[in-house]
This record gives sequence, structure tokens and C-alpha cells, in this order.
Amino acid sequence: MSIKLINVTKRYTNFPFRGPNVEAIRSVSMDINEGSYTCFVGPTGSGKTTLLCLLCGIIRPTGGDVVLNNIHVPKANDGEICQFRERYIGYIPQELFLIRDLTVMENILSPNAFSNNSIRQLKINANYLLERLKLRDKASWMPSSLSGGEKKKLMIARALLKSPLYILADEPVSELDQASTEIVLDLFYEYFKKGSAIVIASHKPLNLPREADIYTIQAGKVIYHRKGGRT
Amino acid sequence: MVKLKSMFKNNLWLALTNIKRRKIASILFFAVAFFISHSIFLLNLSSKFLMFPEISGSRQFFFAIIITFLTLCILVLGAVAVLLIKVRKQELGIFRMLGARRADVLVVSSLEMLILSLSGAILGVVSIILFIIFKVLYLPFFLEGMSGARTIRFIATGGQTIFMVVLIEMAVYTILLSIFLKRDITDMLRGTS
Repeated sequence: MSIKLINVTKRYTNFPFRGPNVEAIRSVSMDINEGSYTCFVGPTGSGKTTLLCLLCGIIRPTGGDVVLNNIHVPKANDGEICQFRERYIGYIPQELFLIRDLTVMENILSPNAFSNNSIRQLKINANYLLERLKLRDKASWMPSSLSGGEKKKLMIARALLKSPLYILADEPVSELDQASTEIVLDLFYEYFKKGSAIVIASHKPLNLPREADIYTIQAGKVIYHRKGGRT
Repeated sequence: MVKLKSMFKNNLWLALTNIKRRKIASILFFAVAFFISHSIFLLNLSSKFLMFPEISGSRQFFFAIIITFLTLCILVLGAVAVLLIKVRKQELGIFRMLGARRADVLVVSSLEMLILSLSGAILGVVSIILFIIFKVLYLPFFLEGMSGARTIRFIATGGQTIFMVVLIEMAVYTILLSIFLKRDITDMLRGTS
């Protein structure tokens, strides 16, 4: 199973306003295979978030093809893409998207309750992740009582809950202190060792494992690709 | 079968969690169901009983009041539904971002609406029956000398009313929600209208 980008372009049009159209991604091709570790580095506004959104089918490309395990995103219907995302992808957005009326535990469980896993099983997994991320005693808190870093950790727990095959994380540690950053990267490595593919987008240098493929993105283009060492 | 059972349990958990955590919206939907059930019950009742000559004189006036009240209730229902969807915009975006299909979101929302409208309608019908029995609302045409056939009609009217209220609430909310869910996930997440 793999996610492929084939000569992908993404242009944001500013219709009906008169601002300029932005070409966020320009002719990018890459393969993200099962069990790989990938990192996109580049300055703010280079197109990393757009690339992640394309990889999980949240947005459709303007040109080229995105293939999610034989599903061609430009031609696929919404249901097919959603099903792939629900089964195989855990996405951690850069912005803090949480449901403000639900507790920490409910925030983790609710978006994952559309799967076939029972709530009981999901709760067991959620407790493990909260323990790992040092949020266990805040399970019944409302998100508004959490700090920015804790909110980010909550979103990480939410994305990892079903042990997805692909974990796509957009700036996962940008709001975390050093200790929390290490905890999160260790957790990602644990999932990587279990067979998940990890894709991280970050504007700051991270302490990545030597298996990591590194793509340097600038102005929507891959300007450098360093293949990671295999174990 | 096991898969379906698990899906139903998850959806029920989600619906009950949403009802519990959004008390104001839930109370509003419940109240609207309660009042709509009053109007529809009286409307149904009148269409079944107004053919009796003893009250035919007040027929038009009776209809006018009930239909005005029912229209008002449905307008309030629409407004509450739009408001709730707007408030939940980002939440729906999060569900979609993490893989929920439009149909999944609609199923959970319909279940939520089913629970609220069913409970509101049952309580509404029971309360209006009590109003009639204790003559808070004086409707002599079926209380005085009420025959067996009339009692059966009366019970049937209650059931029919509950069904209609549930149908109206679910239809209004589901139609509005399905229109909203056609938007892009990124628009929903950013709360762009």
C-alpha cells in the first residue's frame, strides 16, 4: 500500500476577490510507502501543509494525480476518499482544531467513533495514549482549560487512536517544550516500528531517526531529497 | 451483523454525548418538538372530530390558530437548526477531516434528532392529553360521552402526531445539514461562511 503524488500541482484561486492566485505546489512527485518515515522541511509558506492535505485527500490537486492505494483522487468520489482516510490515515493539523463542548476523552473518541472499533476498545487505546502523553489526569477536562501544547498533544492522541497505517503530522511539535517534543517523537517512532508510515512537516530541525527520508520544500517545489538509511 | 451492532452502538454513544454536552441546543429542539406536537395533535384531532356538528361553528377559527402556531414552531425549528449547524461548523469539519463521510455525519445527527424529537413529541402528546382530560384545554366534543370508537381515534391521533413531529424535525435538520456538508472540509474547519 502506498500514497503517490504524480506531478502534482495545487493552485489556490482567489475568486471572487481580486487577490493573486497562489501556486502552492508545483510539479511534485513522490511515493510514501507503508512503514516509511518522511519529513518535509522548509520555511513557512513553502507548501508543506498543502502537501500533507493532498496526501490525505482533504484537498484535490489542480493538476497531476494523487493515488491513495489505487484511488485516483481527482476522479474519485468523496465517499471513497473518506473511507481511505478513515481506515488508514491519522492526520494532525497545524491549527488547533478541537471540539470545545466535549471533554478531552470525548474529543479523542468522537471523531474516531465512525469506525468499526467499539467505544470500549477505543477508550482503552485512548487511556494508553493519554498516559504516554502525560494527559491521563486531564481526561475529563474541557479543551479550554488546556495549554496550547496540551491541545496539540490531544490532537496527536486523537490521530493515533486507531493505530493508522499513515500518520501525517503538520508541525506536531511546534508548540511543545523539549521534554514533550521527545515524548511525541518517541511515540511516532514506536508507531513507525509497529509498521505505520510517519510523515512530518516541520519548519524547524527535528531530531529524526536515521531511517527518515527528508524532502526540503521551497516555494512549492521539492528542492532537495535525502533518502534515509534502511534498518 | 456484529459490525452493524458496533456501528449502531458507536453512533448512539456519539448522539447521546452530543445531546449531553450541548444542553441548550438539545433543550431547544426538545421544546420545539413539544410545542409542534401540541399543534399537530390538535390539528389531527380536529380533522378527525370536526365533522361532528356540535363544534362545526368554531372550525375556521380553531384551524387558523393552530396553523399559525404550527408555522411559528417550524420557523423556530429552522432557525434553531441553522444556528446549531453554524455553531458546530468546526466540529463537522473535524469529523470530515478525520474520515467521516457525509452519510456518517447525517446518520449521527439524525439519531440525535430522533432522540430529541421523539422524547419531546411523546411528552407533548401526553401533556396535551392531560390538558384536555383536566379541562385546562376545554374540548367537549370527545370528552363528553366519548365512545369506544372515538377513544381509538384519539389514541391513533397521538401516535400519528408523534410520527409527524419526528418526521418534521428530522427532515428540517437533515436537509439543512446535508446542504451545509457539501462545503469543502477546509472551509468548514476555518469556519468560512
